[in-house]
Amino acid sequence: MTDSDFPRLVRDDEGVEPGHDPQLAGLLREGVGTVPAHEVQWQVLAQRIMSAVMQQRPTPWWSYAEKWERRVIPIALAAGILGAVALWSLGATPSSATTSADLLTAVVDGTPVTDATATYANLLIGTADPVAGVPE
Amino acid sequence: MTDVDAAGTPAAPDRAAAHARDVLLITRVRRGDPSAFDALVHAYMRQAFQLAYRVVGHREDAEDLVQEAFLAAYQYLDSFDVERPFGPWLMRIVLNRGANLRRSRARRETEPETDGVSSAPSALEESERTEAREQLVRAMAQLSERQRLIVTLFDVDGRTSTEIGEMLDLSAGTVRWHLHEARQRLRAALSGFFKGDA
Repeated sequence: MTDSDFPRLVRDDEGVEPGHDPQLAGLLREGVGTVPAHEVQWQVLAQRIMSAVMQQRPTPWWSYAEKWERRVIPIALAAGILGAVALWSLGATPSSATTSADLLTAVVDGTPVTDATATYANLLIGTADPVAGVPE
Repeated sequence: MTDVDAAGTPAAPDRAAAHARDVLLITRVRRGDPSAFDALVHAYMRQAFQLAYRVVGHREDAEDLVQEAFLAAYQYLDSFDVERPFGPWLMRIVLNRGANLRRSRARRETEPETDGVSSAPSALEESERTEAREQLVRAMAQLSERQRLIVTLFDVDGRTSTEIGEMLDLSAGTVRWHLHEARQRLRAALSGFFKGDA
């Protein structure tokens, strides 16, 4: 075979598309057949692919929640954390401040420092006698 | 809507638009939207099937291969460089997985499906056709896998050298060189069947 058999087949650097070879294409078609695209049920194939893809996806823990629940969960978590902080702030700090003030007041009023300190310590650990250290 | 041909390949002027569409779809998939991947499947499954069929030579195997390739693409989508076109990347997955599939299913006899050019050939025609087909199979077996694919995709499926180059990760010039080599060898092996040839 010579280059004249393919007059439009040119060298790579010229970048021109070669012509089709009908004789060879005819024999090739006989031998290898055409692609049976018309036999493929494309929608079924696409669904099959997507089904396999969905099975392969990692399942996050929040996937078990409904769509609206997925929005509510982080809001609820944030609200819970804020609530806990608020309760801690309201419960611990004012109570300590009040107890410290009471200690100072008791000492100023003449209660012995050791008695007042013991009462303060008991209040802190929750075993306070409400009347201990109060001057009679 | 991007224009595509029968095999699902965008026409040349639409490649940029197809690439822009693919980048958007891939971004959505990465953000956890599986419907975007469904759009990618619909855009490329025909082209993937055509190549898969040429690699494995069997419709059902080709469908399995297309599914496997899309699954792999989904799995590795995070590492895909969106600056590059998605289609050729997917086609290379089809080729690589197809080579593995062929090796693992080597025992299964491939049955190429003809398109029924003649519905009632005479005994002589049938005999000549069978002989030609057998000789063609022998001649094709002498080609490299790459040359076999190139000459089939070009001369039978009507792909351009640029399209084949994208599928096989080759320059269009290299595709044309392989095509020339493959044609020469096939013509030499099948010279008796060409009208007008010595």
